[in-house]
Amino acid sequence: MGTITPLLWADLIGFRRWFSSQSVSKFVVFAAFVVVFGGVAWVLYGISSIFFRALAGFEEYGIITASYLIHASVLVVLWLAIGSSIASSVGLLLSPSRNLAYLVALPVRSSRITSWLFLKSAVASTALMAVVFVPIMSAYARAFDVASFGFIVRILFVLFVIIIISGSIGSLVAYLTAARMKGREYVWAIIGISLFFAVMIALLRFIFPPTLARLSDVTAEEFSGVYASLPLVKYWLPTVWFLETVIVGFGSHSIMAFIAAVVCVGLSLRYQSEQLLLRFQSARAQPYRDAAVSPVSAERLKRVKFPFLYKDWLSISRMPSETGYALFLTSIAVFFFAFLSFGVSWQLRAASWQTELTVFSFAWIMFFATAYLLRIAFPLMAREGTASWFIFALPVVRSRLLWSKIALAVFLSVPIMVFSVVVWQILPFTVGNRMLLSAVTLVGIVSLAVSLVLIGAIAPNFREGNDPEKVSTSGMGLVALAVASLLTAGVCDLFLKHFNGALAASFVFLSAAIFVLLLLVLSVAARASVGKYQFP
Amino acid sequence: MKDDAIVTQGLTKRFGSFSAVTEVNLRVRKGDVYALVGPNGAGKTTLVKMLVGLLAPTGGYASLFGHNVMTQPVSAKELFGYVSDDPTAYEYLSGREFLTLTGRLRGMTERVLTERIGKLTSLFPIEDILSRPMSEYSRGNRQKTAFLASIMTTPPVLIIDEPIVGLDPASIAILGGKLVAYAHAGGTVFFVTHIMDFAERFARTVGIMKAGKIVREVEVTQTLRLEELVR
Repeated sequence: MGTITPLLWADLIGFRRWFSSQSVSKFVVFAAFVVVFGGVAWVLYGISSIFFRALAGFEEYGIITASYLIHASVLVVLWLAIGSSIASSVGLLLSPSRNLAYLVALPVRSSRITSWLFLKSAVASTALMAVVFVPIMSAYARAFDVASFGFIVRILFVLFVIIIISGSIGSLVAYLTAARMKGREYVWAIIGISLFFAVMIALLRFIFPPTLARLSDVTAEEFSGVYASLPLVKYWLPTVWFLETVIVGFGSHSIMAFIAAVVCVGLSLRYQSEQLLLRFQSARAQPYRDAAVSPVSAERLKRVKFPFLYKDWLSISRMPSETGYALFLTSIAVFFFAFLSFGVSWQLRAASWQTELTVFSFAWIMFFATAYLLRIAFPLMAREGTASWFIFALPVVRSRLLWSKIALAVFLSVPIMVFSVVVWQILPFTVGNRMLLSAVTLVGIVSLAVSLVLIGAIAPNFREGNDPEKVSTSGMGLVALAVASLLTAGVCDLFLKHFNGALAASFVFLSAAIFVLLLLVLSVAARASVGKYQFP
Repeated sequence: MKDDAIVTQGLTKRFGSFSAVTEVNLRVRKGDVYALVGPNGAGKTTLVKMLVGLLAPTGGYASLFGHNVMTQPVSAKELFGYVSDDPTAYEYLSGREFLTLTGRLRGMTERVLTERIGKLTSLFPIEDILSRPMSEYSRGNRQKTAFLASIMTTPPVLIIDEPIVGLDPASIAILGGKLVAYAHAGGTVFFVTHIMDFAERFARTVGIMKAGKIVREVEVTQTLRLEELVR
């Protein structure tokens, strides 16, 4: 522990200092993420409550069925945690940080470094998985009136064991596979995400078979037969140890779970310690062997009509951090709306919910769009910072660069538009509301993309140009967030007025005129600013 | 005036109360190889950034062949190629893509571009790295690629800030020779350096800058001891 403690302290200091500059904007962005995860947790809690309350009425049969659902959710959380661990470990192995390079060069034992990395990853995973696990368990505890201090301790113990086991398996898989991914990260990211969702869907179909729905209809005599046929009712499954710890309490099954976690982490860390240096060297050496860029894009660059646009497209598509962020956000959005769709298809079909559901879903779509565009579109101008000596010393009218960024931002927002239209088709809206939502979302997302690029061009943070995350959490990032929030709130207000029959045509025109005026002002300010950029 | 490639008149740059460049009057003749030397913090890079339009002067003006850099930026920028003291550019592009982008943005056609890149890559032995992302380039290879980009269209003036940092001795000799040849062919070269030996070997005129001012200009001769002049 002698080496690990100072490393953990250094991480803590780094985390605290991250907030010391541009604190307000970083706090707002941090709060925004808390809202997202809080929203996901709230939806999960709501849906789980509906299920568990319905089951609570069936007394013993209800408890048995609920325990099956908890067993299923443990498996889902385990898979989510393994996926998250693989992703973070692969990222670490493919692009080792400078800190890691420094540590590897010091006389520090590999086992200390891997333990430190494992601990950090476990803390992050615990926070992430708690968002899924805690709401489900809370809903169960409330519905069956079993909430107690002991229950909370058991939940935390199970979560801890799940994180340790999944982290061990995930990092082991990453160590075994990462070397093959070098130079083909983009392809592997798509394969990995597809595989993750495919297994998730297969798992959900397996653990929630049609037989499960029959449990509420069968007689007391038939119940045990039908229940025994369910796929997770196998007492030899190791996940039963977790289930019994939650439902029954601490016992031999808890000791077995703990031993399993210790064995997993021991074996995994031992292998990681042996392989760390080799994997690190491989990650550093690989680029010189096979990271050549295909000549196709150079040839295309000779012919394309808009070379700026093509160059900017490459700046996004070739950055694993940006594509990774987009994929991560997409995963959260898919889960969020999948769960929402699942929940509303059970309970919220009533016409009276249309208004609330419309405003709620639109606000969340715009939230995801803002999170995506704030990171991808807003820093587009600031990203020129590292090459300012080149691009701004060329005989090119500077505003051409701005229009190219706007065009790219609109192009990059197409996937969100497609996603939103798909969401409107899946959620139970009336045909009229679907058309209205589709039209408003398309206009809203394009406007948002254009606005964010313009705000990003007014005072770009060129110094942090190679770190889009820092750019989007700077002062102007906060302004961009405020504009996005105003736009979303304004449209939600229009929706509410429309559904309440209080929306006058003149008010729509006035709102549209104000928004067009805002875009014009931003456009003039951005053009003026681009002409005055200086690079001391 | 007609033969003056670069002219500055009263060129000044202040950052708050600090004056980085103070009323510099500079005249670089067409066909000259002009080296600006001086200690750290003398204002050399600030002067260069004003010449290429990356910084707006607080006072005075800079022009290239009579084109004011601030009021006629596009026509002035067509007249020079520039390499920064930190030649880091688009790390996600390969060197070949970077050269292609430069050519496209300078208005070259596909055919001319292909021919020119083929010709330029023979200047330095870097053909084998041009297909790799620039993020993996050493400092010296970035410098070479940026230099090739600056001469894509054979502009009348070359402005280079610290041309030999990170270069190996063989590449320094090649680069110096190219700068001299560029001037022989009718071009003008203006560079900033800390390396007196390089200035002595390849420049025809040397300007010495101290505390934001050009304090002396000399024609380079065999007997010149620049280091003594700079002290």
